[in-house]
Amino acid sequence: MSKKLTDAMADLNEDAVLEEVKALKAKDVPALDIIAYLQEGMSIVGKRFEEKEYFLSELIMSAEIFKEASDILGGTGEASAASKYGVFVMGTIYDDIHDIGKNIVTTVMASNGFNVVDLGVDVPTAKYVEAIRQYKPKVIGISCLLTTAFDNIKECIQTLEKEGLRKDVKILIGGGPVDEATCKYVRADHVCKNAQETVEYSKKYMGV
Amino acid sequence: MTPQEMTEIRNKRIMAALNMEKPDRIPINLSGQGFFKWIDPKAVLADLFRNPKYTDELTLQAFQLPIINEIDSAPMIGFTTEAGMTAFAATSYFAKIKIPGRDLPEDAIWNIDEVGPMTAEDYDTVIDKGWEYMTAELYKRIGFDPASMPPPDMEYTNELNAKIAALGKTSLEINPFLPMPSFEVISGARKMPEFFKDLRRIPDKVKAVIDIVDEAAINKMVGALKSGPPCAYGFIGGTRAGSDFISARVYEKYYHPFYHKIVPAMREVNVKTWFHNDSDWSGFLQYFTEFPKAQCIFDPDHLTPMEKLKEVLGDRMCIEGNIPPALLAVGTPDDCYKAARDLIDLMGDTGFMMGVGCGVPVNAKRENVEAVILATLGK
Repeated sequence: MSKKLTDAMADLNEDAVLEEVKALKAKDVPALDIIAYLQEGMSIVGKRFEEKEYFLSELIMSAEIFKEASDILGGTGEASAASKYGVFVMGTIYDDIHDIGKNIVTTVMASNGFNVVDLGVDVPTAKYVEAIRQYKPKVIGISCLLTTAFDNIKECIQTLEKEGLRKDVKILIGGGPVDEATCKYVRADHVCKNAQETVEYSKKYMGV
Repeated sequence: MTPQEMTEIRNKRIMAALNMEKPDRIPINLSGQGFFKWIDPKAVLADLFRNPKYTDELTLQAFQLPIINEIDSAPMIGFTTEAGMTAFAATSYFAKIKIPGRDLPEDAIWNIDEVGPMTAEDYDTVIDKGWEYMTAELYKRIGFDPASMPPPDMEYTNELNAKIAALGKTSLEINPFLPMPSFEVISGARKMPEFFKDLRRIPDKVKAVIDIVDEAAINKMVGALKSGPPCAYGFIGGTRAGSDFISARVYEKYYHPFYHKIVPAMREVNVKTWFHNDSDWSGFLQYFTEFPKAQCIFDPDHLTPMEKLKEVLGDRMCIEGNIPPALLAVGTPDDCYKAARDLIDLMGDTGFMMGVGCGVPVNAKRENVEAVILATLGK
């Protein structure tokens, strides 16, 4: 166990994280073990966020550092390979290019043991349909920062219903203007106010 | 009653609210860019840029609809041009803009497209050569040339102003050219994730640069306010620094000093400070108690709880808000009426203006906006 790496990740010490990842890699420590150390650090980040020691800015930073570290090991696919839980598919709905919230959630989910498929921003319905067919996630996330894109989420969810893909998947939505009224309107399952809530909801639903 | 008389009543009403005095009724300040669609449902958001004179005309018509005509604020028209929005994104965040019909589908809302042209090394450039030099350099990097912007069409502006005056709306002058807090400017220039990392990696350099940008921005603003036409208040936006975003330590060191300096500078030239602050600011509201009573206005989005605002700032400054925008887009008139009544019950009729978190969304339903107005009028 590399406590040094876990602590550096938890303390958001970017230089120390990258240095330690390179050192462990040079010692032929398996990538999956290194990812596990980083994930342990990320779970401390999540705990500090819940305890209001950390804020969204720290979550954004942790997501960036985790991604940089994963890139040294061959990309975030390595983190997915180390996943303990199921697949989580997420994207920002079409006509909306906001990415920061989506990036926080995907990274926090990956670092909490989910196999994350990040569809990017401005994601058309067809891409969600394809991803659900291919990866069979139990939970998907749709991010949205614009009230004008609410109808796009609604259309996406209706299409998933028509395609017979809705019954096996829980749909979470989130983003600045998204609230309970939006959830009811677009017929999603739950509104997540932040990344940690996404983790908690998904774990509960998957029986973890 | 003539439009001029109506304007006088509205000006008094709003000034009473801003001065924490009891107005004849709660002012209704509902602004947004999508009102034109109520007149021509086939019109799309791309028309704002492709055919602005048409959407301006429709918006003017919308403001004369029954019930809607009770709104006290003037319509938002005359500024949504491709050049204007390009300049807005470039000068606020060193960003580009995505425009419906050009970069986005016909009926999508415009999006700010962050570029992040400033490098970590540029902190030293700012310290060595100043912010003005860096600004010009950053504009070059994002391909923005302020000199190439077309001059304002004064003939059309005057024509619009005459039409707005004929509506009898408030004529209180607003200064729309106030600087963004320097924390926000540098965050946009670097892109948010890099900027937050800078705060940990090179905190002293970030602080030094923010101090330089603060000074340049405030000096420029004071000059503009002194030389420009008299105005009642000026907007300052805040979107990346609520108490859910950053710690109190970061806020105190890097962000609040801008407010601490700019509010007295505005007060000296008799201009009130209108804080248009998105995200949850509930943890930082106590910092705003340092400002003199009735000098500021707090205009949150739906993420800052009004109960907290009332508790901390209710006796210090006028509060505007705070119907959730999503409710206007997807809720029912009953939901909206109740939300507005609940707000009035909470806030009372002194030092409060009815408004919507951030602004009326472009897909707000007319009947929902009407419900908010009727609730405010007590009908």
